[in-house]
Amino acid sequence: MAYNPAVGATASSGALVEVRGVTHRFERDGHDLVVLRDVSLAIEAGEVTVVLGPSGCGKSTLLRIMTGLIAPTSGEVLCHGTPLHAVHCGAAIVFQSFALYPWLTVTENIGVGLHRTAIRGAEAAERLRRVIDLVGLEGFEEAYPKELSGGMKQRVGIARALVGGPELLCMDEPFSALDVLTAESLRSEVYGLWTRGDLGLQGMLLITHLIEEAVFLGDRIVIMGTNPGTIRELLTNPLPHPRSISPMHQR
Amino acid sequence: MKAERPPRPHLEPLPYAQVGEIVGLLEVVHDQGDRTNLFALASRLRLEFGLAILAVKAAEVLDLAETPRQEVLLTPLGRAFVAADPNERKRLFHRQLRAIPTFAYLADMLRRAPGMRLPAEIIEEELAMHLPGEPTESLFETIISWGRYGELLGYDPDAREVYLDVESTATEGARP
Repeated sequence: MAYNPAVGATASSGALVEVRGVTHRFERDGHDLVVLRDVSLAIEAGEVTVVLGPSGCGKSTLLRIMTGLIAPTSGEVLCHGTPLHAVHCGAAIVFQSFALYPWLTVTENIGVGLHRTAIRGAEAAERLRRVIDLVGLEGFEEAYPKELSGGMKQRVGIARALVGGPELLCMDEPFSALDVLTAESLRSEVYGLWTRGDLGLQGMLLITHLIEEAVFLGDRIVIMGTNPGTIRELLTNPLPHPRSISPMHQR
Repeated sequence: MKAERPPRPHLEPLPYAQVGEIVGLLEVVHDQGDRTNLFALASRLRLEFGLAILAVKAAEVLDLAETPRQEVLLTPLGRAFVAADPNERKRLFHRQLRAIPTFAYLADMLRRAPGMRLPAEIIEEELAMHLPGEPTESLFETIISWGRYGELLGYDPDAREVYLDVESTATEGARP
């Protein structure tokens, strides 16, 4: 797993994030719904972990628990070995629905990713410029989300996640709202961002329901089953890097 | 403001495809060995045929692909595009845009305008006049999105002004 050169010097001890024996329940229409049951999983540095499962298996809930957006009903969440009681400060999320502010321009939307950091002024401007360049959004800086295609919107989502320099990039079905061709091009760009290794990213967590996507991007594939959400299988993907040919079309 | 007009060129409509779709198409064709059958491609990707045609046609207008009969194949330029990094892709796209009469004409119009910028309505009127059969709004949107990606044209949505994107292309990576 040593192909990602970003890992090593700065990696501190313990998994980037780990859940132990996590169970989560929702109350819905007076019914007690078990979304996750006894899930244990560690996201390690230096690899892309893909959580693969059908809709309703609780994989998005798992991502929200791992990033500290919601607290599990029971079980432990650890960040570098210490219990996580707030939002995971080293993690950033890319959402399926893009989640952009319609009244902000592309640059302003990306800048939201810096709000929780102490980065301001000239350094903020420099970071924005660099991340806009990285994701290919030059020329779109002043555009509003409504002017953008889905692919460009998700580029904004990715740039907003990367601008603060997270150690863990979490993506919840990031290509599922895009047409197949756009998804294809963006998927290989995300792979390129990860493998370039100079962004300070330590690990990536991807949630998907597409087997091909999991195989293309994942180093470790976590297969989840539904009702309630449990881990059925943990696989190591032996395909070597770089994976230049997309498996999406080798049927 | 009456800028002197160049001789009336033959403007062409554009296939209304998004840049992401065009790039995705090129990558998919590349994965198939730089050549594939269009019907087979659309069915394998479960892609609506009409959309596949638009993306293919757009790639052809940009000279990145050709379509003899039902085949789609990458041109040498298309192969270079797929192999290039994101910034090199944009530079290549920029060059190709300048070779498309509609973009060449608009770029020329903007170059003659004060501050190299014009209200969107003037551009839209120009398009409607030259291509009365085309839905002006879709054409305008396509021009802006291709133009922004290729950093040839910019559009300020607050002022509703189209401008020539001179700084970003002339001095790579040195935008304010």
